[in-house]
Amino acid sequence: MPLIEIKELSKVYGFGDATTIALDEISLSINRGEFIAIMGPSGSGKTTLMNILGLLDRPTHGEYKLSNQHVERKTKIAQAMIRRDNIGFIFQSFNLLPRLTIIENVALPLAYKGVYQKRRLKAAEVVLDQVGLSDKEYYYPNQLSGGQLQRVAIARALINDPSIIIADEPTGNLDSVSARVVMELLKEVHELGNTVLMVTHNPSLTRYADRIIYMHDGNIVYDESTAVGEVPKRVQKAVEALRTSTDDDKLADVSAMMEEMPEQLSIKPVPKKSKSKSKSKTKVKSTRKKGKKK
Amino acid sequence: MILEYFKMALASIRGSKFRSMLTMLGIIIGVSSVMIIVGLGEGVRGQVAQQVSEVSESLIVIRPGKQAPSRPFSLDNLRSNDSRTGSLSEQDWRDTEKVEGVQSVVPIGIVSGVASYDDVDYDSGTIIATTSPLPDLLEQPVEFGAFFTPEESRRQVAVIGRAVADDLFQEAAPVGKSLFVRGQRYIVVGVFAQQKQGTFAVLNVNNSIMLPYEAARELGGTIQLSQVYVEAEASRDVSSVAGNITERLIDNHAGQEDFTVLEREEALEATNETFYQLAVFTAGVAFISFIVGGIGIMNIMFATVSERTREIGIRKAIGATSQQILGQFIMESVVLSILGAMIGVAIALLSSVLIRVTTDLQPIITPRVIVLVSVIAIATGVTSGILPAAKAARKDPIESLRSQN
Ligand SMILES: Nc1ncnc2c1ncn2[C@@H]1O[C@H](COP(=O)(O)OP(=O)(O)OP(=O)(O)O)[C@@H](O)[C@H]1O
Ligand SMILES: [Mg+2]
Repeated sequence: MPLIEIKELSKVYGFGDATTIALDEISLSINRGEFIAIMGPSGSGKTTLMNILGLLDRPTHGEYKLSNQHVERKTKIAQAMIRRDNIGFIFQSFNLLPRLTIIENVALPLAYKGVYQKRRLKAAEVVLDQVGLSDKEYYYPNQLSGGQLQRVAIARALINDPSIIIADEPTGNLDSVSARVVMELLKEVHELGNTVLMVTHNPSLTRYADRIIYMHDGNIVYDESTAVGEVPKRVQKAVEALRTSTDDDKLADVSAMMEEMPEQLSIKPVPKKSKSKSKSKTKVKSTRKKGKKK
Repeated sequence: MILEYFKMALASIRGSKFRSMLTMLGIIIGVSSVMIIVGLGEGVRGQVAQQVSEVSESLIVIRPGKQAPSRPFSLDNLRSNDSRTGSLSEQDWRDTEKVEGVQSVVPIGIVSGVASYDDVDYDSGTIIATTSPLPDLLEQPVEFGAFFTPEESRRQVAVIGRAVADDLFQEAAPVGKSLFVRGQRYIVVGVFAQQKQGTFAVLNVNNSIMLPYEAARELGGTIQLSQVYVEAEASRDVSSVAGNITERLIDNHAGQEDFTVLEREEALEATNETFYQLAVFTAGVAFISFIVGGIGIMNIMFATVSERTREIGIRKAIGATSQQILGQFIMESVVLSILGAMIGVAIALLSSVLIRVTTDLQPIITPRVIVLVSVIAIATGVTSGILPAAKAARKDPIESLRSQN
């Protein structure tokens, strides 16, 4: 039984001439324990899909079954509680609360569950230790680097022991070294049995995934399981094929940085090495269809 | 969960102290100003009520001129000797003595002229012609010597107030010395004790020079009756005696009620009437200041909510329900208004101490007032917090996460 099952799911924004079909009758099923990388040009509907899967948003049409339960039409309260108990979000921009300490940030989801402060902070200590930030518990977010912040965000996503981790471009704001640390951590999380959905623009990061979905114009144009650690040739090809503009060199930069990245990284809580050497030697010019609107 | 909201509220208040202070300002000003006004009112009311109750219950005061029954009461109104239109005659006084239920009658006649001692004039005093029961009626003791007796009513004696002794004679007990009024010599036989400050006195005894009525009449000139004090018989109902007097005097005044018969109860009623008006006024002030305070809270809470859009988005994304966001923001205004109320109470208490020390006023801030005003303040805060909190709760998580704030 799949963990997530969506059928002919659509999301339409606006109406009349201004209608945007962000998701166009997508069907998809995801099993427990998968690590899925979702790629695709800007505006292809990746974030929209993540928001719907994370119950932050509702589809215009179609079905969404989570753990064999229809959730797409549940009340907002019910959805909030499912979100709290089953889904952990990791955002590109970290989204920590600046006025709370690191440990309070991590413990926050438990607060909304009604867990007492003592137990909450204890649980937060445990996950912070998992991401290797035990020494930063009482720092404030503005005292940490981007990579550290994203590790805090991962800890926060993990604290409720969710069934799904949704990460929308988790390395988008990070330099290559921090990105690598974060990815290794996500890999750890996956290896612990969590289901991870990750949106990325960086093809080389797909080697952490065991399944790759490629989206275009609100459709899934490519969906394949691969061995972890490989960037499938077809991804590269698809990326090349769908390349429509060259105005954005950001991805190329990322790839270049990945090449220069030291092979071995000392990641505190994750002593394992990556399972295979990086194959991300591909120079992908750009997958950007149009300038990404922020 | 409520405890949780409380902690979150404290955290975010601590996180932005200046804005929180600003939010509380309206409540602080509202609470402290209302409490000071109420406290001052209570203080004056207490003073007046005490003074009124010190007056003998059976005392009736007749004054010339008609006083509107609901005329605002004040110490000055009762104390002032100015006669309104109409006057009291000696006939009125004599007739009052004949009214049923009247125990004794004491006239207060103003004698024109200046008293002098050792060729020094005493300008600031009043020369009063009166009769012997006066000290009993006013419960005003004589400290040195004695008040003149009925037998002395034609003798040229005088009883003086404390201030006269001090200022004119420059000694504490000038008994046996004599003063002159219009060339006539009067021997001081008694000195009043200091009249209690701020007493419900219808007469300023301290600067009075009191002469026996008959003796004063022999001075020639007019004696103007500024008031007549009546003591009702103890067994009589004071109101009915007052009614009888009124009837009798209306006859004397050709059917015109151009005089006022006041009894203590009426004075008390007038007091209560005045303080009722004061209370209504205070309530109005309180109402306005709390509305202003509430609008202040609402304004700043709205600003806070838009400023914290992203925070709300994050909280929702990690699983806060709209209700929880609502609860959290309402709790913030609750905590802010409680804090504001507490600071307001503290300021009011401090100010009342300052007022006591620096002025004659004796503001009284009762626990009841503290509780009542705080409850109103907190209710105001909560009410004003509801709309902004609802706005926060309604925010769409995705929109909020996209926000720069
Ligand atoms: N609130 C909205 N109102 C109208 N249109 C929207 C809204 N949100 C998204 N869209 C549109 O839906 C489409 C899909 O957007 P989405 O954010 O899912 O793209 P994406 O794949 O995440 O892009 P990126 O890689 O830049 O993050 C876009 O055309 C976008 O303009
Ligand atoms: Mg996106």
